Amino acid sequence: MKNTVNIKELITLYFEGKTNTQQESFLKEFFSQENIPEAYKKEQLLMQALFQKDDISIPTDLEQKLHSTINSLALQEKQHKLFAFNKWKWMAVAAILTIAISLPLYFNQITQHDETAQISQVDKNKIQEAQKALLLLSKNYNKGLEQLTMSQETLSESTRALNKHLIISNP
Amino acid sequence: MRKNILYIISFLFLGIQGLYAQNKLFDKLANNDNVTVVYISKALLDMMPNLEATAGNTDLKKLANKLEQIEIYTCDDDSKTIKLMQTEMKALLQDKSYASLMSIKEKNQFVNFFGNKQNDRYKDLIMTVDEGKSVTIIRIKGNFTSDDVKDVIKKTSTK
Repeated sequence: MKNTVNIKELITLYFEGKTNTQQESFLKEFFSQENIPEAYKKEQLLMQALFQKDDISIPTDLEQKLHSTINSLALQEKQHKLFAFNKWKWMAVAAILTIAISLPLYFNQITQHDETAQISQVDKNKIQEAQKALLLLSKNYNKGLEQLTMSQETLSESTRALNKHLIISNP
Repeated sequence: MRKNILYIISFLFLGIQGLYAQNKLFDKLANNDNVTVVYISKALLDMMPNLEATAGNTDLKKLANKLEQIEIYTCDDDSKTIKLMQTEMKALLQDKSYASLMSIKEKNQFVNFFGNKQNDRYKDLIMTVDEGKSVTIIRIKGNFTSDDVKDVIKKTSTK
């Protein structure tokens, strides 16, 4: 009875945070037993969990580890931002280069077209004259070569006929 | 040895004189008021392919690309100048730097071809067309073959 009253008081004091180490050890020992009064069975699980929590030891270098993890995460985020910035920077450079190369080429094409369009009528007439001259030259050249071919064929036939005649007259 | 050197120098001199004589002939024609002269340079010839280079069965581009210049001398209805041109063309026959390639006579038209050939390629080809009342001289200079001239007009369209 005295023990039961004492335990109730001790539990109350424990939850109020007023127990000393000795009293907490007593409570821990009491609730770790298997055969405890029925009245305290419900509280046994809670008390066991609370006392188990007290058993977890905090590593001494935890604070250092937390600091280093936070720092590394911060560094990663910084690098990610830098990479994102660099990516945009390179894309911008590539876009500028593309425009810088393609614009002159485009305008050069237009200039060439303009130059062709700007040929004077006098030059156009000269070119037409040149075309007519070359056509006339080629036409007469081919005519001459055709005549040459025909003459060669005629000469060959004549030679054959002559040879035949010679063979007949001189058997 | 000295004799050989002398002969070589003499031939070279004659050759240069021949060329000089030719240039003199065409300069004479160019300076004549009754002769119409059309001179087409390499720059204009390079433009030719962009302006109706091919028409029907023709292929001007192939020859035009190999030419340095074209000269066309024409005289119509001036008997004195026509005679001068005819005389000068006969003198061309005497010129050793040009070989007479062919002569064609068709109705009242006389056509003569003169060529300056080096290693199977023409450097200079002259065609003279004498129709009595008009004379035309066409001179093409460049580096081209006989086939380049033939292929300007394909066989199917020749008459």
